[in-house]
Amino acid sequence: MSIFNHRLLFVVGKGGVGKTTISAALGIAAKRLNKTVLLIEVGDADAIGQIFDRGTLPEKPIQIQPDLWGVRINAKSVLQEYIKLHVNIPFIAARIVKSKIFEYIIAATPGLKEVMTLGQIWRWEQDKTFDNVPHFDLIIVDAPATGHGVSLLMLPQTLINMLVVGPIVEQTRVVHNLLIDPVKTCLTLVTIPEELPVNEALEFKTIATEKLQMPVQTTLINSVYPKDFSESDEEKIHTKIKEIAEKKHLKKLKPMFELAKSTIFRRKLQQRYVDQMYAKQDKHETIIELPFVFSHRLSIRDIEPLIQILLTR
Amino acid sequence: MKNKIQTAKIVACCGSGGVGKTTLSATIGLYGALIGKKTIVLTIDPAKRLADALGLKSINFEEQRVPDSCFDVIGLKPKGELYAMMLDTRHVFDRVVTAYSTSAEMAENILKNRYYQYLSTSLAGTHEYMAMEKLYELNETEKYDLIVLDTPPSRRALDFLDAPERLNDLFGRHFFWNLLKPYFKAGKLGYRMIYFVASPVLRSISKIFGIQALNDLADFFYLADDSFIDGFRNRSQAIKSVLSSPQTVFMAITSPMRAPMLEALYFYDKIKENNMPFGGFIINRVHQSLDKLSDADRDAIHAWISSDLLAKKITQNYQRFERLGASCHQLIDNLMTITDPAIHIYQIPFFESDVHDFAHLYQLHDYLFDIDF
Repeated sequence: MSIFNHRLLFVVGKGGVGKTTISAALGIAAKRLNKTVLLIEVGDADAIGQIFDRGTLPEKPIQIQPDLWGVRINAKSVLQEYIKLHVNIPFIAARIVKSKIFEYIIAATPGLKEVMTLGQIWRWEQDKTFDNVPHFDLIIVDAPATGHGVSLLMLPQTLINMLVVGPIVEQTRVVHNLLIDPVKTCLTLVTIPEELPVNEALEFKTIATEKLQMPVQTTLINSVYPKDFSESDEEKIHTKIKEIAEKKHLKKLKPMFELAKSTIFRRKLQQRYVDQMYAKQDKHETIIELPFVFSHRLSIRDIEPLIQILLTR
Repeated sequence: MKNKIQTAKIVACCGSGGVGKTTLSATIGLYGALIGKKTIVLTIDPAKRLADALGLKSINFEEQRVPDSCFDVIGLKPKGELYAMMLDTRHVFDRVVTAYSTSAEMAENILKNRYYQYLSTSLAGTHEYMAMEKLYELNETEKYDLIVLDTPPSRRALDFLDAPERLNDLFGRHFFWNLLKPYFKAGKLGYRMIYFVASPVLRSISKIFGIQALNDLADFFYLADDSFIDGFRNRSQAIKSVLSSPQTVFMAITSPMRAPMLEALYFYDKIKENNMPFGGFIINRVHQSLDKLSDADRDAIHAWISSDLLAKKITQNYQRFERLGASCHQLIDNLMTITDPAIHIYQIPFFESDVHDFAHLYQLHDYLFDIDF
């Protein structure tokens, strides 16, 4: 099943592996496949906005590009809306929202912020246009870094345990059903071929299967150097570097050959970690390697190669 | 940075996840030990190989001495001593509770409370607060000349700075506390239920959230008496004053990429706003600027190498890194133009292999300190 045939992509991974860049690339790729896409940012970050050269995304979906929408979820405002909806007497609802106890409850109830966040995602998933087709074909969630991402997805268990009964628990059950449906929801893990990120990715896969009951379906290995050089190339480069050391007039070519040599070295090191990911690949897991972007500005134009690869999958 | 480390008692490394905070904290710690300070590096979940290099056993949350024999690979004897310690939030929190409880029974009840169990592990800002707590505790013992703190990877550096105040706020005398305290102090569970039913606001809240959540919260505040909460609050203020002292240095760690740089800048603004001592930016893993590949060089490579394909691969590879280096330096230039020229910006080059052992950590000193021991 193509990654774009799901309804919901949850993009998770360690900080600094490129979750936001990849969420944006997935979004652009999906819209080129004629889908209407909603990109969701969780919390008070503004990373998606930066990629599209705009400020912080608003709390209501806004069109970033044709067929590509963006929004930021603020759990507190979602909860305020929720209270207003569920408390019939408006002045009591207003008092609750303004009260300190409300602040406490938000801070102190395990999983409450998370269920509000997920509930809002669920509502967008349910959203239909006037002729009863889904408003968004694909919803991409740029989840918080792994640890927090886990707590976001862990909420059904935590919250049901804490609250036991009430409308929030009912909502949690509905959301939970959406999350564990492997056809609708795809847990998308991002990592890079380095020690710590790979270790953390493998740990996350175990947690996802055992604790979240939502196995990782797609793993994206980001920032993989191109494999340009063959083994015979490598030998030739080594020979040439020795020759350069001996001949003065060739000295100016040294940086180019040294760089080729170090690229080969780095690529081999990366391969070890890439292999580790394949060695632990699950039966239903798709692994996609994405190329290193040779620009740290990471503008939309820079990530075009990623979009192209995602489109072929 | 040499002078800063000479005079500092605390160095805090801050920045977003994945930029190399742990590595740089270890590097600064190593430097401290070499110049004669009794130094401790406080870290959270270090890379396994780095932990090995520092002689840390991952299961141990106590202070551990890094054996002098670890310094052999760099051929130097430390004039001071190097210690390392891993932080476990829950562990620190439990100790704080025990310290502020007025009786053993009170401590035990709090530790068993469900709300506390959640608070100590999951509440936003807890990790940051506990890192600060441990820092303060170590500082108070005066056992170390230098404490290097590897801060928790918060997406927002703000969480970390505001952590003491946020927790303080939670323990403060707010609406909830004032309103409910007498009832909780007086009552058994049954009375509490009645109270909830009697107040329309609480009744609505308990309908939505469930009575259990309120009860757990109430129990916690019931257990935690005034002296406990005062202890916490006083501690928060003390931590803040240690952090603001001139012997503390905050370093903003970033990689030369847009998102982590904006985080670092945001952090820098927060530090300035709070009047805390800022030590500068450390930009980690900077790809070097390469000279532009001239047509003459390109032709020379093609002429010299028999395979045109290989020549093309070599020049293409070079041009890619030329572009990468240029993008890094453009970002760094931008940072320089928007920050005060007096602010130090340290750049650490990108290394071929991961920086995970003493020799590699030592290598970084060239870019942070002018070496002479």
